[in-house]
Parts: sequence; C-alpha cells; structure tokens
Amino acid sequence: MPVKWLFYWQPNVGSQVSSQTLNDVFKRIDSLHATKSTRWQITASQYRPNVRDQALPVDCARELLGVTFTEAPDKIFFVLRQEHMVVEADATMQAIMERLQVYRNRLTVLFEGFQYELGDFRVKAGRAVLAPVENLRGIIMEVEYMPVSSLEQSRAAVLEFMELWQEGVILGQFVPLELNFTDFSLSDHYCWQHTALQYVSLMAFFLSQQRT
Amino acid sequence: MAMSISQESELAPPVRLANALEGLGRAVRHIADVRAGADLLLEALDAAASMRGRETGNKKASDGIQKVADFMKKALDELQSTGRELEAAGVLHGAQQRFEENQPWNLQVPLVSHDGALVPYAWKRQIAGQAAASAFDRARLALKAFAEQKRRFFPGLGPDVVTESNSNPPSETPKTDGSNQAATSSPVLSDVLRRIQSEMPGMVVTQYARLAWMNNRLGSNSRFDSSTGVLSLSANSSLSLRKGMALTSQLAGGEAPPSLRSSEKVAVLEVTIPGILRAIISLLPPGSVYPDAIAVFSPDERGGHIQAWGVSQHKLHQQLSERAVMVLYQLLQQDRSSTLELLLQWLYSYRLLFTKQCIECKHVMAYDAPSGLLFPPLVRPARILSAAQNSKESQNKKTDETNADNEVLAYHLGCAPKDL
Repeated sequence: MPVKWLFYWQPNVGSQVSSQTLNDVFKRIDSLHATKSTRWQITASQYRPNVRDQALPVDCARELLGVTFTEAPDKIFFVLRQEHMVVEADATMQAIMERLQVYRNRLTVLFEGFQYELGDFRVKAGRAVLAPVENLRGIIMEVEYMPVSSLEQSRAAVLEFMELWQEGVILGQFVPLELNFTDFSLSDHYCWQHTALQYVSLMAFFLSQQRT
Repeated sequence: MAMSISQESELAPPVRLANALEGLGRAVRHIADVRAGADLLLEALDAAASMRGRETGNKKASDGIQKVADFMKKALDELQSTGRELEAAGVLHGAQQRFEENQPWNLQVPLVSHDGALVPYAWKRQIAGQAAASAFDRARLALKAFAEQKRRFFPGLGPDVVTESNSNPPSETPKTDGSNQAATSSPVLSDVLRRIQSEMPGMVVTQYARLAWMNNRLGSNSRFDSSTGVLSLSANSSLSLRKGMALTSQLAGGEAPPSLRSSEKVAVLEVTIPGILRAIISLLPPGSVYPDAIAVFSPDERGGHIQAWGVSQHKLHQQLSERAVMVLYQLLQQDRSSTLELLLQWLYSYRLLFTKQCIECKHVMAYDAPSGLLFPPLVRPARILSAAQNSKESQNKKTDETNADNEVLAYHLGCAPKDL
C-alpha cells in the first residue's frame, strides 16, 4: 500500500489557525496544476467503557480509539494505546457496540477536506473539527507517494516534496507527524494500521493542544 | 498488361503486388479521366447553349458534345477493362466475398491473393487497428504465409531461429533446438544468472516459461487456453497489451505449473529489488540470453498488465521503463551476448532510487520541467563502451562501481549531462 505521511499546520508565533489558512492551502495546491478529485472524511472517536457499577473492577481496555476511513468503508480500526496494539474490525462493530452499550463514544474528531492528484503524489488537505460543536482544531495535510510502500524509502521523497511545496510560505509551516511505529509492532511495510495510528495520534495531539 | 490467371499465381508476391498496384494506379487514372470528361461535357453543353443563338458555318454545337461524349465513353470502357483485369488478379470483388465468409468481424477488405495469404501492406494496416484476439489470429496466419513463401522462394536458406522457434511447438522442429545451442562460445543463461546472483545481493531474479508467466499473471481472472490459442477474459480483468504485439505462446499441451518443466525454455525473467522496483524481461529466443523487451513496475502492482511490454500505473515507473528500453537497444547494438548481464547490472544500480541524491543538484526530488512532476534521480549511466576503451578496462571499472554504493552516479532527468 502506498505510504502516507501526515503533516499538521503550525502557525508562527503570533498568528492563529483559521479557515483562511485552509483556503490558502487549497489555492496553493491548485496552482501546482494538481487535479482535484474527491472529498474525503476520516472520523476518529474515543470510546470509554460503560461502567454501570463503579465497585466492580474493570478488566477490559480503558480506552478505545477508533478510526474509520471513507476509502475503506467496510473496516474500523481500533488503537489501544496502553496495550500497544492496532486492531482491525468489520464496520458493523460500531453497531454492535451501540447495541451492547459496552463502550460509549465520548469524543469525536472529524477530519475532512479535498483530495488532489499530483503525478505520483496524492495529497489530501483539510481541517480537523470537534464533531458536535464544529470548531476548528487544526489544518492537516496527508501526502501519499504511490510508487513506494516502505516507510524508510519514502521519507526523503515526501519530505522534499513538502519542502518544495512550502517554499515561500510565511505564516507558518506544515510539520510532519513522526511516530514510532515499532512500539506498536508495525513493520516498515505500510498498511492501513499505520494510517489508523497516525490519525489517532493526530486526534490526541489536537485534543491536548486545546487544554494547554 | 493482361496476364492469365495461371501465370499470376506463379509469380512471387512482390511482383503480384507490383502488378496489383499498377492496375490500381491505372484505374485511378481512368477514374480521373472520367471525371475530366464529365467536366468537359458540361463545358460543351454550356458552349452549345451559348452558340444556339448564332449558328456559324461549319461548326455545329452538337459536334462538340459528340466529341466529349466519345471521350468519356472511351474512358469508361478502359476503366471497365482495368476493373476486370484486377478482378481476375484477385484484387477486387471475389476477395470481398471470400473474406466475408471466413471472418465476419466488420473489417476492411484486405487484398487477398489466391493461396489465401494476405498481401503484406494491407495486412499491416489491419494489424494496427485490431484488438488483441484478432491480432493473434492474424499473426498466426501471417507467420504461416511467410514461412510457406520463404520455403517456396528461398529454398536455400536455413531455418530462421526467430520465427520458427516461436510459432512451432518444440516437438515439431528438433533442428531448431540444435541451432540454438550451436556455438560453444555463446553465453548460457544459467551461468549468467548465477554470476548476477553472486555479484548483486538483494536483487532477486526468477525464471518463468512464457506460458507459466501468462497464467501466473492472469491468475483467476482469465485463462489462456493453449490448445486453441484463445484468451478468454472475465468481466473485470484488466489485460492491456501495447497495440500490435502478438501474444506468443508455447503450444505445449496442457497447462504448465509455475515451476519450470524441463521441456520448456525460460522466456520471462522477473527481476525484483525489494521495495524499489520489479522489472520484467522477455527473452527471445526462449532459453537464450538475448533480451527482447523490458518493462519496470512498482513491487506492489498487481494485474494482467505486468508483462515485458506493459505500462506501469505510476509515472515514475513509466519513465524508468522508457529509459530501460533505450538502454536495452543501445546495449543490443553494441554486443548482443553481454546485453543481459549489463542490463541487469544497470538495473541493480537503481537499488537506492529513493534515497540517493542527484550528483548535480544534491536533492532527492526535483521537478521535471516538461511534465511539471516531481521525480527522484532516475538517470543512471549504463556501461556503453566507447571506441577508445577496450573491454578489459571496462570490466575492471564495472566491479569497482558495483562494489561501492557511494560511487553510483545518479541524475535527475533535468540534471543529467546530455550524452547519457
């Protein structure tokens, strides 16, 4: 599977993240003669166990971070941070969890935007919003390099692409999300589980930013 | 130029072709005459109309018209006779009917001569426009016709290794095998591959017989039935071949398992550098070391288009394939027996495609001006001998270059010196 790298917008000191930044990003990508293809949406949710009786010890996972992708509509991925695992389940798992009321959805962050094709690169640009209230938490970019499936091989290519693309941008920059995939027993060969981990980390990052 | 039918069939096809062309040329001239005659007729009628008012002496209006009418009649008669000649030579009418009976595919009428062989130039026009299945049939017919004509007109010439080993099953032409392994000085495939495997760790070369490769590639989507030579596709298979390339098949009976059977020759090499690229090389004739076609793909690509003449989905690998074909032909021109080895060494120099910086601009990715796309440095110099170097010198250079990773020269498309 082609490698995807995630970048989040870091505004320079003094400026704020706004939806104007996102429009600027779109314009910049368009100027490179990219072809706009589709909308994309990724939903990352945090689930906590539904504990009815406080006295009973809880022997299940304390926190489930679930991610769904419009590109893989029949799957849902769960990241268990304490257990260092990324698991894949069928999309009906969500319905099952609703019915059983075992875990409840506490928070949801929605990533959505437009996708562009630029030669062998596929770029998704969009915003991250907290679901019920729809306030903007961040701007993200996902760069996918189609010919390569190995994380190490794609590093130079993708980082240089972002460098070239960001030349001359003043108000801030896109910072790559660096993750330690081996902590979660994920190999160098990229697959959906890597993507799930990336988006969940991004969600956690955005949520933590607000509190500080 | 009226020849009897029996005389015509004795002539070699080029002569027949020349006659046919000449006959057609004459027909075109006659048609032009008829057209000119029609113009003249109109003129004469016009003149007659203007002269009606004033009938002068011995010139009558009807004379002019009569003259032109005679001229036209003569032209039409000649046209008719030329037409009959051409029909007798099998160039027209009769061919149309015969063709429609045999191959109802709504195609253009090719020029068919008496023994069923397709006259070359019309055949060439057809090939360019057809779909893969009909192209295979035509190639089969044409090869049959060529072989037969060659037998008739050039009886002194020995068996041609290229056409016969591909079109005839191995069991029918034992002499072909003999001529393949004739010279002891010609390189043997297994030796070359063993040398390559030891010199280039990390590059994996797998051998396939051609039919086994086809079945491997097509997988569950379609089956290539070797007995009838028919390729049947299911609804969502994606088989795309470059136009004009006939499917060659080893007509050995039954299906070949992926492992090599002793009677089949190695015809396809799959060269993989894990994580970087996968190259498919086709060998012609099968079992020898002479590469015929090469194409480069990403290691994760799947599909029926992964053939030695296929086109990758990614722009990067398309560029690599183009360069590979260029290098292949340069090497073939230079020295046919060392081509495979040099080609594999050149492929091996790509093992750091995504991490090595370009020598000129010191970056990994750069814009390629005409297409506006980013590419890593994908130009690598190949071992093309110049007249001044002798082969011993270049042998030493070869081993040095492949030993040290740092010395492999890499360039972007725009940064490469012009002579590469």
